[in-house]
Amino acid sequence: MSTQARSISSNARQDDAGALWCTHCQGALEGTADDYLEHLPAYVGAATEGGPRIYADASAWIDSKVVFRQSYCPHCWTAFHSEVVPA
Amino acid sequence: MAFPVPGSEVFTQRGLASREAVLAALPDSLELHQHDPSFDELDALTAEVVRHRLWATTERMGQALNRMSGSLVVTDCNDIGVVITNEIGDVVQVGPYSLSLATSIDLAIRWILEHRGPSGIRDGDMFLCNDPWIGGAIHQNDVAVIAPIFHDGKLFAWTASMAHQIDLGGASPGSWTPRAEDVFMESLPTPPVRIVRNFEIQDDVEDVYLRRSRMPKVVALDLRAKIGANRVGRERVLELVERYGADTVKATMARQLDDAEAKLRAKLALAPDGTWTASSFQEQSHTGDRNLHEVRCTLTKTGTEMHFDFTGTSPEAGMINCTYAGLHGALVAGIIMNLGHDIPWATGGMWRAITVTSEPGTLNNADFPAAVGKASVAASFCTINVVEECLSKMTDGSEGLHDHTTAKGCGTWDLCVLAGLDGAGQPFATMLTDAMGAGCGAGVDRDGTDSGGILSIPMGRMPDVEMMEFSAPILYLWRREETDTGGAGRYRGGVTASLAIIPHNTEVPMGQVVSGSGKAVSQNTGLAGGYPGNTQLDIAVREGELARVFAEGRIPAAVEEMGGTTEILSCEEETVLGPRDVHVMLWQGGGGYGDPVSRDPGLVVHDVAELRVSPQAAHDIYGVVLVDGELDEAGTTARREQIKNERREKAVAAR
Ligand SMILES: [Zn+2]
Repeated sequence: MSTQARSISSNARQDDAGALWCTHCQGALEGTADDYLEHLPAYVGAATEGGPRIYADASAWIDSKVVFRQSYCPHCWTAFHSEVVPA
Repeated sequence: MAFPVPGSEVFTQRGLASREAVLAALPDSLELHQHDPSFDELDALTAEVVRHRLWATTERMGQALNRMSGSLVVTDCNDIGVVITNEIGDVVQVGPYSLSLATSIDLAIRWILEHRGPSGIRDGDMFLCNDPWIGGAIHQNDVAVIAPIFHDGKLFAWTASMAHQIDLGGASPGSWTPRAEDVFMESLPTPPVRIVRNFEIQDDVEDVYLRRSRMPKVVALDLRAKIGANRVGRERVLELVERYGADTVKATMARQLDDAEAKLRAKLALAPDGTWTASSFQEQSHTGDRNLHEVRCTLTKTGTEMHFDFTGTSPEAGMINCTYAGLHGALVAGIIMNLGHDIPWATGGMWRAITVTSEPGTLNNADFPAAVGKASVAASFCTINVVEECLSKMTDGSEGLHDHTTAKGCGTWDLCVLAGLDGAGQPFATMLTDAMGAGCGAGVDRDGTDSGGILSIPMGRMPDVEMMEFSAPILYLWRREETDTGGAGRYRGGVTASLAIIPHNTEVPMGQVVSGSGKAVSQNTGLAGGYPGNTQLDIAVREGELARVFAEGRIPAAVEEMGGTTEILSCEEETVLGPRDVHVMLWQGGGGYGDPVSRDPGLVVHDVAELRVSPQAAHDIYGVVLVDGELDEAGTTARREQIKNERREKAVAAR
């Protein structure tokens, strides 16, 4: 871990050699600054898991299915990304 | 179905012509007052005085517009735009009203110079324009009045005033036509015409303009308000010229443009180079549509420049499109909102650090004659959303710019237009503009502001309920903030509000246009693990039993207490509000920032006490356990551990 570490986001940092780690637990993360989120363990569930005021039934308006998707640090399980998006 | 229209190309602008190109197209008869780069008599103090006067002038223009208008959209909501530009239309100062609207004016002024220059642009002219393919308008309801300012026979600068007009014709009241298949079913776009010549309104041109409206008297007053605002702008700019000299004022304008560019570039130098992407969705492009439509943006930041690439955006569809002007205005509005609080709002300078790729025929770069009646709050607003999200992802990874990071606030507008006859048999048309009080996104060190407003209209205001009831035969059952509408996060998104209205003192059914997206897919996205805010919702209660409930001495506080039948309204529809119906709308709160499990439990306890977060959400999402309203510290620690364990189990199971 270099002292030259730079911030990638509030959740991840990177050193000069390109190594990435979690800001919260210092655990190593896979991938690059541009794609590390895609390497995180993720969960896909019902849209309503995104909050009690997310409307449950997207089929009231559209044919696409809508889901809650969340990805985490694989070490401390802090949520790095949360979204309600088309499946 | 929109077919190509040969001959329409002349009205389509897709990019800002360079100064050289503008000058080359001008007739010799039109002399410009241009900045002389060798002019070296501008001292810093004078420049600051002039700069602040220009800024104050835009505010004065907005006030003039407001005081003369009789339309609630203007007087109570500030859905207006004002701007001062240099002689070729480069925006030197945007007023603090609708940013995306005002910042598209450069395109319109470039067009006027090229196409009206040959027939003469003279002192005392003002041009009216609501053509979204030309600029100065995002959709046809936005009408700009654009005025050249001359000094010593030379074109010195321009002012422009814009406002949302309550009705400009087309198939549906409010000029908002959810069933529109092309622009010919909507309000007529009007390219720049001389509405004022030699300082006098041209009554023949005005008649052509007003004849299209269902509310011509209100629109006529707004026209005069905009002309008045431009006169305020003109007088104040010429006062500055008189006092400090034309070259000094022009040099200050040039410095303002240079400063905006330099300060934007200085900020970009603080951010790491990289690429960030974002998508924003619209459900249902028109009545009956069941599809989802996407505006996609990839921001590539290299050194001190930004490239915005909208490749991957859905093809144009229904009436949710915007033209290039809608993209152009939205893009710099997003930059002002995220990076611009301490940069001069001179978008003419900012554009020097920005390039764009966008494919014609897509949702935010529509060809003529696509329907664009909803552009300002559909594809153009989605463009603001993706630009803001990309910029915030960039600043979230930048130590020097970290505090500029903001989760998305409300990502659209919840529209309800009502038109009909009041109890005296008089016609009315009104738009419920309460959604102006939407929730703001959370920042890296603060919660989003509750009902804080729509960020792209800094001076936007939520209307007074009494004024809304005064302007139309309606009564509010409630207008109130709603629990759990702010996205969960280490910092919570600002909560938003809802309203319920009933017809009042009229037995005549009202025509109603309902339009709003973000009902199935969030537009108010969270950031860095923060959750999105609520989805939007419009409900009609048909044949409610309000008379009985009132007779019992109660005012209903929930749909379930109203009797009747409940109907979930679509994203785009025209319907009827019957005398015993209720219209309920819930607009969008802000997204959260960071993992809600890391929020200070004391803040969650406070949120619950203030009804911003429900005890259930406190437990389920924030992992905060309350006993009799007090924090259970051990229970909270255990619950948060349990949430993380569940994540571990579920994510593994999902892989
Ligand atoms: Zn971690």
